[in-house]
Amino acid sequence: MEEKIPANIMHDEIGTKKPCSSCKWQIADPTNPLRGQCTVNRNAMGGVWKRWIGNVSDMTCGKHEEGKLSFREHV
Amino acid sequence: MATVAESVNYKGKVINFPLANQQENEVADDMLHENLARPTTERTKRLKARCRWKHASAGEFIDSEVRAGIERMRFITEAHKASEGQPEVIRRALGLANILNKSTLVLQQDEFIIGYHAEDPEMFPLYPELSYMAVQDYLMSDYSPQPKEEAEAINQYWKRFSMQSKGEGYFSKEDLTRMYQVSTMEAPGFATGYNSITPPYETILQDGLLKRIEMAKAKIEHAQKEMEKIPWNATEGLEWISKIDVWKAMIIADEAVINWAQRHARLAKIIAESFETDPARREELLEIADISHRVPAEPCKGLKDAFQAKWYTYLLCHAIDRYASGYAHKEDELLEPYYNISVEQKTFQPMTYTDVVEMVEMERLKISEHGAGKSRAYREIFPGSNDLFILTVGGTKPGYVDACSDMTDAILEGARNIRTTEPSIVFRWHPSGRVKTKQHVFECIRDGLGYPSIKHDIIGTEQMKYYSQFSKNKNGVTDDEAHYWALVLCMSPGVCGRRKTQKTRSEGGGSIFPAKMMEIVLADGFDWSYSAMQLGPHTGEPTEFKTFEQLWEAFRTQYAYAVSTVIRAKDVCRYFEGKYLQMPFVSSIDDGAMELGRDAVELSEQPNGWHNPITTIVAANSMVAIKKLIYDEKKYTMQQLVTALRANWEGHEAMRLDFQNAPKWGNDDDYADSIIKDFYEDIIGGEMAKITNYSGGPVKPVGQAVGLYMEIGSRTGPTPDGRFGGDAGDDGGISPYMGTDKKGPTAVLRSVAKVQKNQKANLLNQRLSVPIMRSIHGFSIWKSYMDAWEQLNIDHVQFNVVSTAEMKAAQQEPEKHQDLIVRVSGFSARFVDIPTYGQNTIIARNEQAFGANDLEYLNTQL
Repeated sequence: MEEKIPANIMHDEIGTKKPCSSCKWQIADPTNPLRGQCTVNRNAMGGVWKRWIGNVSDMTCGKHEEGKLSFREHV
Repeated sequence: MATVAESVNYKGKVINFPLANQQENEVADDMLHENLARPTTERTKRLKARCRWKHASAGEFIDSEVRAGIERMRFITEAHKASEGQPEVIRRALGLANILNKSTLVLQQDEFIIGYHAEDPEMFPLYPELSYMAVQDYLMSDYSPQPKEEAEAINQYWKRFSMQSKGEGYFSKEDLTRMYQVSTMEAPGFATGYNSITPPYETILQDGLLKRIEMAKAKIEHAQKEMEKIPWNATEGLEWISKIDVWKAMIIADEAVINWAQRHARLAKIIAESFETDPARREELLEIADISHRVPAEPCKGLKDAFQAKWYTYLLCHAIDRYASGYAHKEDELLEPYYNISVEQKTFQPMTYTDVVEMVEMERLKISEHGAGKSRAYREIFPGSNDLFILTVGGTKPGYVDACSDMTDAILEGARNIRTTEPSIVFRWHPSGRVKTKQHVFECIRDGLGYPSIKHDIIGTEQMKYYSQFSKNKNGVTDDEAHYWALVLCMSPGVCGRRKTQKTRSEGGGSIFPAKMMEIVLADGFDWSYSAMQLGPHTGEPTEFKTFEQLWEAFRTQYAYAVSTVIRAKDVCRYFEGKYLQMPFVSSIDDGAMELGRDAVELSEQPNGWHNPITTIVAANSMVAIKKLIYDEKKYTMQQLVTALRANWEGHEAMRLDFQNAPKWGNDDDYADSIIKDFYEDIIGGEMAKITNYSGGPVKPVGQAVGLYMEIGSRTGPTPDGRFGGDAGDDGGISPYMGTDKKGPTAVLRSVAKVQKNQKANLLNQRLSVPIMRSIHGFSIWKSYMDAWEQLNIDHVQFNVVSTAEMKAAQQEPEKHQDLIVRVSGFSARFVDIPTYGQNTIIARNEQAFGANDLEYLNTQL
């Protein structure tokens, strides 16, 4: 049986209304603009532990928030 | 009140540290940097106030007005379509000519050195012929060129012709995906467009382009006569065809450059005669017009000519013909003859020393305003700066004779006065270097500029000689020529001069990231923390490594794969550059290309293969901790370690502290240092030495973290050195991990000095005590430190002299700290333009004081 991915974990969702591309925690991949990086994981010391996003249009998770962070809050 | 350093008992005396400038007692620690700028003239003060910095961080431009221009991409496309069917090298020349003939010119108020590379000083050009992905990223950004539809059509047109499309065809999808995400390997140059060059400025200044055109014409005439010889010999005769095309392309390019400079001259004259109301500025504009009418067509006759010709050449080589990072030249020696004419002899363009300092300040502000149309990856990794711009001064002439001059001093004094993040400066340190100039170097460092960084003159010179022996055409540098070198970018030396200089980036800068490799070695090559994919070869389950040597060899396999793949990508890119991305202008000013009728991008006379292991110390410290705690003491098993790492140490804090407290690099600890020395020499340098690159030489490590220690840290899970997932990597190339060098500055030197084999180009980042450096003993202590550093045969060092109080104050109120400059790694940055993540890594570095033990070791005379 296929394991169901919890909603708060980044996952594929074709046609999602909350794609990573519109999420404030997302920042573009360094090379391919169709891919991205999720920066929602942050530690107490201000460290940002990124996750790679294979497709910014068709992936989402339960932590999606519309917007854009300042450069100061990225890496 | 300013903090004053505590007294030290040294050699039976109490040494006090009053500030050298007593007035600084009234300056609060957290506002010091805002009180150190002193522009030489009102003009440079105004120019700095209105400078359009193009600092980027986290892939974004700080100033919201900055955006990409469309003119360059429009004109090169127009020429490419119109030149179909012609030889590629001619097409490249026609492309450059079309840009230069049609581009909008920029001439700004107060400028003396003129010229810009886009249609508006808020803009920068793009390069669709390089990477379609990099341009696509701009099109999706807030700073897209306009009209966007036209830019999209241009990018679509170039996609099939681009370097990226050509290069991608020779790599598997798997390798491309691994490289593009930049976690164990840097993305290839064909996908980013990133590049570097050392232009042969000397021919422009000494010959002028009219002479170069005559040389090319004579070459063509000779070639045609050779082809007409009877009886016909095809084995020799046909070789002239490609050469004739190269020489023809040079002529097209040079004529276009002369025309472009003279367009600037006419613009200045029109403004002077028709618009300018200030008589003094009117005279100055006429002088500007006169200079641009003469140079770079003719040889430079004075120092003003030299600054202007150099600037035009810079724009062409680094921004208009093709993007290239850097500002590689030996500026003091290049300009010294013209300094002597204008300042010493006053026979042409007479100037005072102070006038020269003002020129230096104006040049620095031109660089500060320069925008680079670089890919997102490179807008991430130099946070708080425009790009990498590094010029070199000091060092020696043949016979190890001091090369410092009054021109050197003017460059350093201008830099200290105007306080700009860029360009950075490298000072080549040699015992024979004059103390007066070393005092200027110190003053820049003491004032917190982060530059000059220091390179060991003898090591660098001998490296040029070493690489010469591998020259493919047996024409590498001579022993005398080996003395004339500058850093190509942050760290790698390369020769300067009329030929043999580095023209493109196959010769350097392929980055590989040992911290991430260490992570995946502990997961059979799988990246569980960032991309959830197999990121390298299968190297076995770590729990089955019975010995430390098995772990060592697994790491070697990951490293060897990454370094070969990255350098293969460099050389594949170089192959296509030689066929489709020729640079006829650069060829025309290179004596080798001119003599041989070969394009400068394709021709390699002096190998210079330096590539960048970045975050080596995280991996090396991890090796030490694993050996001690798992294989030597057997306190933990590898299974326990893997479990703790997968949990990001959560629930394993006592274990994490054991790993964090294991011996660390930078403390003169023999246990750690013996392992790490082997790590550098056996794996990092040893595996690179097995490679042969495009130019026929082996490659060498040049660890230089730039901002990649932040980016890679954020893409790397927890590591066995006790680091948490997402924490930054180490900030140098051979620097201790931030905060772990606890035995003082001389213990760091002793550790670093242990690595001597097959590499001497690793970046050492140190942070020194502000109160000590600003005290009356600051120069004596620093000078004795530098003399010890030189004697220990360490290749590099750079310094931060900035207080934690000031950095924390700037985090609270950034608008009040616009002049706070810090050294990141290989470049300096405006502190408030760096993301908080990066700022915290600089605050976390140990501020090294000098205790009695350090002073004893250095034998400092106080």
